[in-house]
Amino acid sequence: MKPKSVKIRRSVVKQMYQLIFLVLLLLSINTSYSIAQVSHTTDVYMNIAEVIEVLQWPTEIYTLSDGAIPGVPIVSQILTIKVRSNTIWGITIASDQDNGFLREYDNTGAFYIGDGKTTTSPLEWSVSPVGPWLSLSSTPTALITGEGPTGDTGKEISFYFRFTPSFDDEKLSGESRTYKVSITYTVGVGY
Amino acid sequence: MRLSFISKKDWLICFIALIIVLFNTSVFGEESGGVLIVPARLEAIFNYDGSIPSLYVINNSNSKIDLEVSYGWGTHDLYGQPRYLDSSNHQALIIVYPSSFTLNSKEIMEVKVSVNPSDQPMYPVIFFDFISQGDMARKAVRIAVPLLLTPSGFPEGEGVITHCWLERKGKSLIVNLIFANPNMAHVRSGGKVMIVHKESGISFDIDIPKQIILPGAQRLVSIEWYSEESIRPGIYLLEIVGFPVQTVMPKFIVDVFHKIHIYSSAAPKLIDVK
Repeated sequence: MKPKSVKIRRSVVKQMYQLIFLVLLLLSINTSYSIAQVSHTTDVYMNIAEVIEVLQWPTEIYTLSDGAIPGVPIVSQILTIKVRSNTIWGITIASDQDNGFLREYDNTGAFYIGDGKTTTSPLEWSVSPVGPWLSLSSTPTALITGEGPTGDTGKEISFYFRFTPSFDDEKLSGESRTYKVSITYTVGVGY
Repeated sequence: MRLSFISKKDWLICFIALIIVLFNTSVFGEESGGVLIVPARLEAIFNYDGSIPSLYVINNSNSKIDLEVSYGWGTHDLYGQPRYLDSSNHQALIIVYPSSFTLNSKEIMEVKVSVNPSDQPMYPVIFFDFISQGDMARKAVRIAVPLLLTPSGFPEGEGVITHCWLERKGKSLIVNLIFANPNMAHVRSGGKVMIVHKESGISFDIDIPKQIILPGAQRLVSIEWYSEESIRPGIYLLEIVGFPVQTVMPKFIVDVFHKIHIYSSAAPKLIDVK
């Protein structure tokens, strides 16, 4: 049989352990609660830039015909400009000649012949192979205007050229001579 | 080392698969990107030294490309379509650097633009010409980046509405407004169109879209109004109310009254516009 004083001591120790456990438990809860109370927020801001991307454009050199026949219109193959934009955009088309007429050009020297021949009708363009056809001009004309954002896939704008030779149009002599007009496509978002 | 466990048939299949992968990579690579310019339009306030934020050209394509950078001047027509003007009268005002460069695939080029210090707003357009690579350089296509540049502290102006007329489009009413800008700096349209039933006081309002109007230019702004609610017959007043916008752009303060006579709720008929 154990003495009574030993029993009391054990009881006190047990109570002390219980008290320590309780204190630790309370501290733990308090710490968790304190941690839970420490919160932080991050406000993320951003905006998107206006962007325009040209993915595809017509070839720089296009031979409409090497032997055009007077009275028979020649229509080009389909030409395409592909654009990707996240804002409103458009394309203008303009020729280097005032009224879209083709002028005699020397391919070797890469210059227009000063007093060379000029076609009697202008190069025309249309967004459909059956027209309506518009004459090219040095004043930029809208190929397409006010197009909305394209999304990731982009948008293809297709068009055609047409030229109708006349019996007044003469064949040029010399291998390096050709009729030529240069066309500029301008892609932009505008105002 | 011989890979005897792989048959000739398997090699052939692997080879064909590789060819297909390479083909698809090259095809989709070309389709995946082009030549990108950011920002596509720049509205900025320039400092005393004439510096403005740079433009960036990114070649997302798989090909090398040559570019030439030049500038002109811009305005727009009544429909907001850009009109690019020759730079010959303003040779010394804009400096772009570099003015020509080659971009390899996936490369980026910073194009710095500065303007001669001025106390007046400027509206240049920076042109990026894609030049074909070959015996003779040819311009293939051009991207135009309009700049709207205002000197620091430039006073705000006010736009005016010079014309207002209405037209019917099916069951809708189209309110057409022509904004003009007699100032030296660009302005934006804004405000509200209020359509008020005179007897009941019931009103509808539509926001006027914010469109840029360059100095000396005019711009047509059309607003469509279609009410899902039953429209009462009677006299309507059309009021255009402007308010200051939040940017450096000015406000439109114009009150215009029109009479609209609507006969039926199904198909409004416009009979009196003065």
